[in-house]
Amino acid sequence: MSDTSLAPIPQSTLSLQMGRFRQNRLAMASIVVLTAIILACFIGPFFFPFTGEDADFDAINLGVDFTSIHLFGTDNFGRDLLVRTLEGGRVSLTIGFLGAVVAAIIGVLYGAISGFIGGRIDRIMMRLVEVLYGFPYVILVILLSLLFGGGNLALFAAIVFTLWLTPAVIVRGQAQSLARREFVEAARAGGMTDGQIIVTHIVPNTLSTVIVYSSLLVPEVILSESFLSFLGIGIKEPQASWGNLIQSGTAAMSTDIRLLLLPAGMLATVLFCLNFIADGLRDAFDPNDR
Amino acid sequence: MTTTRFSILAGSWLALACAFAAPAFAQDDTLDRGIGSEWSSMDPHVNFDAAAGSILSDAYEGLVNYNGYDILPGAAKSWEVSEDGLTYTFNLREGLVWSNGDPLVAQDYVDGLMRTLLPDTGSERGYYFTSVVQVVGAADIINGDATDASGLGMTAPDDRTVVIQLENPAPHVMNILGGAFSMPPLHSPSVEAEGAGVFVNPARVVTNGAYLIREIVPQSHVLLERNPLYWDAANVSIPFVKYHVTEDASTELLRYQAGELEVTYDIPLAQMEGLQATVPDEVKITAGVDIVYYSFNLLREPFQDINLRRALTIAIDRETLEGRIVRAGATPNYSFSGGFDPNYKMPVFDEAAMTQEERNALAQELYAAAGYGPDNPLRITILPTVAEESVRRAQGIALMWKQVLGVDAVVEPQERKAWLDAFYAGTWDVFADNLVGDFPGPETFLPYMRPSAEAGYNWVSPEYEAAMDVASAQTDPQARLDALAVAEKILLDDYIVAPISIIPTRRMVSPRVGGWLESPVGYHNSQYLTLE
Repeated sequence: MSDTSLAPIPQSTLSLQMGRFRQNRLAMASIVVLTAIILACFIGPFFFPFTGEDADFDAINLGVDFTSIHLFGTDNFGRDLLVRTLEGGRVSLTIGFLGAVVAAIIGVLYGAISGFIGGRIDRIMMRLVEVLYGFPYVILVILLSLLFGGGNLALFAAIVFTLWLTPAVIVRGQAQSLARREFVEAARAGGMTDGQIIVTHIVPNTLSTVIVYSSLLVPEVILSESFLSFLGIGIKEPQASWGNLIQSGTAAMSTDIRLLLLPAGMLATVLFCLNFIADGLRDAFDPNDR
Repeated sequence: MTTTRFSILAGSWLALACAFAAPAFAQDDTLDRGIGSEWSSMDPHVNFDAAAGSILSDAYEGLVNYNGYDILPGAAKSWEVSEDGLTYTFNLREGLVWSNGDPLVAQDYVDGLMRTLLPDTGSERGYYFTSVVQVVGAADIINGDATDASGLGMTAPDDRTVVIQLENPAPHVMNILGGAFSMPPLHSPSVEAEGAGVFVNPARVVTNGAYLIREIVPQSHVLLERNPLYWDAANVSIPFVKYHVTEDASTELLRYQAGELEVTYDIPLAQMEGLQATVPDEVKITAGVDIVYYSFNLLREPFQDINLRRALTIAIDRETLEGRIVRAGATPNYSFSGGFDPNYKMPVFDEAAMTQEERNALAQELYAAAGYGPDNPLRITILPTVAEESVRRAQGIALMWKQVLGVDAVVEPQERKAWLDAFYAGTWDVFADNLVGDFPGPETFLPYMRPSAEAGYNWVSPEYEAAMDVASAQTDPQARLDALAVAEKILLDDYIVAPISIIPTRRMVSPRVGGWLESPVGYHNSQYLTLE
């Protein structure tokens, strides 16, 4: 008598979660669409004989024409709209993903340290977070871009600076409860230092929350970047980003909606995809919360 | 965008409050005029901004008034010019009063000029009286050599007479002397009591024009009400005038179309063709005395090289820029002063006769001679205002510099006030400059470029000063114009500014507004308008 055929195949938590995620059709479709857009943004412009900053003054304000080289026409300066939108997407997506990763790393470490150590240090660290929460966002961004002298780096710093706070608070709550668990006591009894415990026990145990939250952070960062560029304090002309493309599109909204639709459509699609993926991840990682 | 939305909200809220507070404020009595960006100053002796100038011309009255092309009697009912053209005598009307009932006397006009000239006031307009026209003794006051009016060539021998003495005769003088923009009177008691802050305090400010200042709401509007004490109040037909701030021309047009405005400050470029086709009578495009030029910051190292300045100046394809990119109805300009006077033999920069291809080739050589190339591109910023036209022109020029020379130019639009402040702070590489003239002729622009008149350019040119001195001593109109042409050539040969274009004024004017005359310098005082 052998019962091996009846015993469940051992599966890790992660593969169970991934299995659940794969069943979410909307999320899987979003991944396909998002991958296509990312590939188009990063590889697409190489197929054109010009860049988005090359102006052709003999081809100003061309309309949509799929038979010509300018598929979606050109803008007021004779620059190809599609290539500019793709190049703008590079900037927006890079800032979005990098910003979310950096904000998550800072937030996780800060929250884990604060929650694990506790006591007075925890109180001081969390009050600091609350003080930073209190700053009006746009004013903070303007001040930071003055401090860094403008440009992409300043924008990136400003976005990260304001977005690491929420992951820090979430992780801190998790770390607080983890700090009292037996395996942490055991690790401490075994002679591990606080730093080692945070890195090997606390942070890995908060990961599923962090992944879910970071996936929601990405669209937030992209939206922030576009919003700031729309207001003119983000990415500056002639460099394109979805924000400043949409901004120049709104000026011509009533006469030539094409200039607005392409970048705005791309932005909206990416934001929808990212939100569906984040939803899927949350459902998969936290089945109790469904 | 935020500011615009805010201002609409604030504006409608206030309008609502006013409607409840006083029935007299009903919308139908009010002429709503757009002024684009916020006024930079409400101080009539300091303001140098054309948009604010239209508010102040309603609130203050000079010795004369302008309407369309005409010079009309204002506070002065008549004036005489002496044989030699050096002495102007203005005879004031009887019974003129300030808005608080104080009598308005000739000395108030002298005090107004004194306040403009005294260095403590910080006015940018003092150069009018030393360069554009030369009032005896004005230079001493500006330089701080004299602190009272004893040496000034503007005097009030009695309460009803103003006498102005000039160093040199000037054919264009009536366009400067006496207008509310250049020579408003001063109500000394209120300014002495409360300082310059009185000009933004509607409860305390004392004016003498056809309208009283009722409300000043920053980033929103200025409300004016008909002045019952104005000498010609019987002929002022519109009871209230409200000047609205709308930063963005498209939003301003929407407000116009929604009936919130009767006169706009601008027309969005993208919609001009459509509007001209559908409502041609409401689109008022006038060739204005308004030049656009790009100034190079001579204090910054790259621009000290004339090769680079010249390369940047000639690498701009002005025909393409204005005709196909900006499309705002502006005329490309290859001289500085634009030649508004048909008798003026306008000089142009040397490369104007070349084709753009030849200019580009020469620009590339000069750029290389200045030590720049593909491996070492010039990196600069351009400072335009946030107005759509100005931003688009700057972006077009940045692209041309990129295409022809490989320059990395970043466009950083600023709000009008910040843009003006930045000019004097010198925090720019290339400044998208413009100058609105007071009359059609070269002499409205050229004196401003004298290093002694406008220090902001940091230009050192005794030759130009000398040539301008020669010109201003000429009494014969043609000889004067010829001498001015010599001076302008010196300016162009130094390439300290790149002339770009002459821009028109573009306004939407509602059919309800009557009496709107074409005016090259943009004088449209509300007192001459009617509202149906």
